[in-house]
Amino acid sequence: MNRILLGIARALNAAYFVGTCAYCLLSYSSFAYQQFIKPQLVGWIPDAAAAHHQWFWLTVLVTLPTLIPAVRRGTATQRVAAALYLAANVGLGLWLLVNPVLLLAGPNTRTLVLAVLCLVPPFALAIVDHITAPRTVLRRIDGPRLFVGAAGASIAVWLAYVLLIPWYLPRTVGVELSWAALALAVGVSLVSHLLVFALVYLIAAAAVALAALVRHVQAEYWALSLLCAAALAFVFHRVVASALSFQSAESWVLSGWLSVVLVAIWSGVAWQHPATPPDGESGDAIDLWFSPIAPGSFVVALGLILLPVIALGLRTAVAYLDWNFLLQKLGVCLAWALALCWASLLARRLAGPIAALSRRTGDRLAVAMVLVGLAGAPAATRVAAWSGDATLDPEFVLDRYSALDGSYQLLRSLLKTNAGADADLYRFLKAHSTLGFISASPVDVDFVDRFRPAAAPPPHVFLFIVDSLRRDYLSPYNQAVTFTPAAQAFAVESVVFERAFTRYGATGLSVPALWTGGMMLHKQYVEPFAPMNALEKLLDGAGYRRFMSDDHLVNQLFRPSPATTMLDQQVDEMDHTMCGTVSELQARLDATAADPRPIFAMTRPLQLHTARLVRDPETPASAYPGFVPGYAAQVAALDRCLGTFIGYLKKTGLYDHSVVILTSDHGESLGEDGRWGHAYTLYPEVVQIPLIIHLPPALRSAVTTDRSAVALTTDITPTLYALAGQPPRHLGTLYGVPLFVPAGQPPPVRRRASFLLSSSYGPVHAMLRHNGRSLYIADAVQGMDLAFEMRADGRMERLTLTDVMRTVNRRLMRDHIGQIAAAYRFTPVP
Amino acid sequence: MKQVFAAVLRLVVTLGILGVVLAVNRSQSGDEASADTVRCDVEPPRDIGGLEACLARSPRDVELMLDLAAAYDAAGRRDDARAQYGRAVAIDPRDADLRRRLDGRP
Repeated sequence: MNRILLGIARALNAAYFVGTCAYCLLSYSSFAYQQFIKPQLVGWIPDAAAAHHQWFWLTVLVTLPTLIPAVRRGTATQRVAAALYLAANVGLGLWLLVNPVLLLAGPNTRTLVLAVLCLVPPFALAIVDHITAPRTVLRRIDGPRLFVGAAGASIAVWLAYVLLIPWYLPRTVGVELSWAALALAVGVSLVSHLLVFALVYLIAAAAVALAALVRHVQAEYWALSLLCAAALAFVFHRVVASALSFQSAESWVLSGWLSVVLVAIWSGVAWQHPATPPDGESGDAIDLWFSPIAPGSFVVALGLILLPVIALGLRTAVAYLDWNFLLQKLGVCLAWALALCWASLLARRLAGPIAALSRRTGDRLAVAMVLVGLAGAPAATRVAAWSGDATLDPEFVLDRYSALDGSYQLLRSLLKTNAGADADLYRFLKAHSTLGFISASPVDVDFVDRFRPAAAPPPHVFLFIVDSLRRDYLSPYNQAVTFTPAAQAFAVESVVFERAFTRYGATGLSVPALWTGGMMLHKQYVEPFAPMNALEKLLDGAGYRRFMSDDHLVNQLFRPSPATTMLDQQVDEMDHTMCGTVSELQARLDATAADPRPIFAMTRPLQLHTARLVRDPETPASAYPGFVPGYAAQVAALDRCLGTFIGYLKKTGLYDHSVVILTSDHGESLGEDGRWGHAYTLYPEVVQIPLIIHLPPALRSAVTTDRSAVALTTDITPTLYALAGQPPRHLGTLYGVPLFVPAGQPPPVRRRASFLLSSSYGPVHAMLRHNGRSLYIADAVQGMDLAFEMRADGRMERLTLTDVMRTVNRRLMRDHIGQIAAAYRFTPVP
Repeated sequence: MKQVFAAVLRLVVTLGILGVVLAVNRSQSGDEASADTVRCDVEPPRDIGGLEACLARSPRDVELMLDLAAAYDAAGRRDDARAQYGRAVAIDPRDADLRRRLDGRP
């Protein structure tokens, strides 16, 4: 069969089974299951899962023609192998029709086992491909080829990403590097690339040398295949599994197995159609390995020249939907693989002095490259010291530079390991985060012993938690914003909290924590949730009738109640918008205007969420100069509907009896240091949120507040208790406090208080201190700490870490996390 | 035999180089700052001398400035207290509480 057709057939087969494996792994991960799979946030995924058992027959259909030649004309062994595979597949297909297993996937061990087992069929097919392959004669790898391939790839990759810097520099928010700093970073990037690719060469050369001890030349091929599988497993473990919070042992097993299967599939196609070198001689192991994509010399040269364009395309395609650079890093891996492939193929076709290089010369040059690479970091430190320029601090410069150079960013993350106190802290954070399979009992969160009759009827409450809303896209927080006049007008009549922060990055724990009014065990979710749902207790106790958007969190964590009217029931969660919801809410309020009970309405519009924004038509940059146009356009749309609704409240006379809260569950990265979205990070732009609270005039005159003190999402529920005439008691540092106190009393003193902030989806935690001016982040996914300080203009600026920062913040972090664990009687497995 | 020795030697050397590279890239930051500095940050002293010493170590710590200003106030050193409030406002001009204190309002 034709090489290209065979490649397509195997790619489709692999896509089905690897896709099944990926779905199982996402379902197995409790946070991915709770936040993406279960609420069906990506519409086509549940459809694909529902038809999974039917799609299987398509894989049989595309695989069948590729095996017919072996069944017809193969040797007895080949015929048996192909026939057995086909028979087993038909049997599996019939079994799947009766047992559509993917529909049962969830965060349990059975799903993990399924993730492993679903890779058996493609592995079996790869074995069949090897058995039915024609006999191939290999020759030994030439002396210089490995070295020239690795060295050429290092230069090609480095150059490709350096050439992209002028493109990224003006497009990356917050990266301001002087020419000297840029030159320093580009130099360090070069020597780092030389170092890593020299290591690749030395390891490959050692493997080939060991294989040469075996009489069969094919041993060289298998040695290289094994190395590829090992490299792939390392990348999956370090880049993918850690970002999805898989624990170490299961991560290594899954990464190893997936890598072996992928390499086997690739190898099967290679053996089926081994490439013939242009000189007509038999090829070596490298030629055979790259057979599935073996192009001609012109294509190879063109590919290397166009590598920057390929790298740009790979990054651009995924940047907005990325999971803190996960997809971009995989794109870099692909660029490295292409560069290695093309440089190795070109090395065979080169003549002259390069072809005459001996293996020993290659070894010496590789060791020299390693030494130069090792000297890079100390040399950069010396340059900074010698220049006397504090802005050339290598740690700071290279952190910033890695936002521009994706290849260097990946090199850094792959090479870096943690030891001592760092490793100890990250182990601690991992042991207390994204807790999947532990059983934990809820704690009772009672801000009051009992609800007492209030002197006045409780106010109506309208709570707008806009998903992913940044505060600097609202004019009350940023004078440069001209597209939110309604928010501006609303702010004039309200209290604008200038230092509002979310307790949790991302929605998964942020919204439940807002309802609880405090921090919770890092688990999605401790159930039953009702004992912890302080907001629900208030609504019950004060007799509120409720209007709530029908989203997966409300469905799971609020108990059904006859007092509840669900909004947006016919709308996909990702399509919840301010306009749609308030329009329905107005109609519902009009229809029940005679009901004397106080109103509580809550919605979480998702029109600013990255997954939703990528579906919108492109907005011209000129429409919102200085802002991300698509995001700004949605904020403007949201603002118009906020204005309409406030107008409605005023017209109906509800406004002067209502508490109206505009806030968000977290912010969003919009290009800062190349970051997009929020993923599991706690950068300043993710944890800073808007918080604007309108009070009825009668309440406003009776209370006071400090609007420039730290305010947290977990303060909202205690504040509602206080405003409803149910003064909440102080439950400790992990819980919120009312943001308003009776007039004449001093506002709560928080200046020296420290607040733990946590990511919803990963072992990333932060300490917020000094009245919100300092933010210290410990990121156990990436294995690094970061510190930010608020400057006079309100910007959060990255700081160089000091021992004092580390000592104080790490101690506080351990203390706060320990308090949560103690409250839930959770003891991590040592 | 010579070939086996060369292959094994090559492997050992390669693994050695790999170990050196990983060791060099191993991050092991210290997190044991001096006890005095930590105390200044977490449980600052109350006396003027102690606070001044702490502020010399952490010159951008607004909370220390406020504590010191309060201590100056208590000692009748109004101008020194006002200078501290001024320093604090310069660092965090958006903090209404600081501005209020600088203006001498309760």
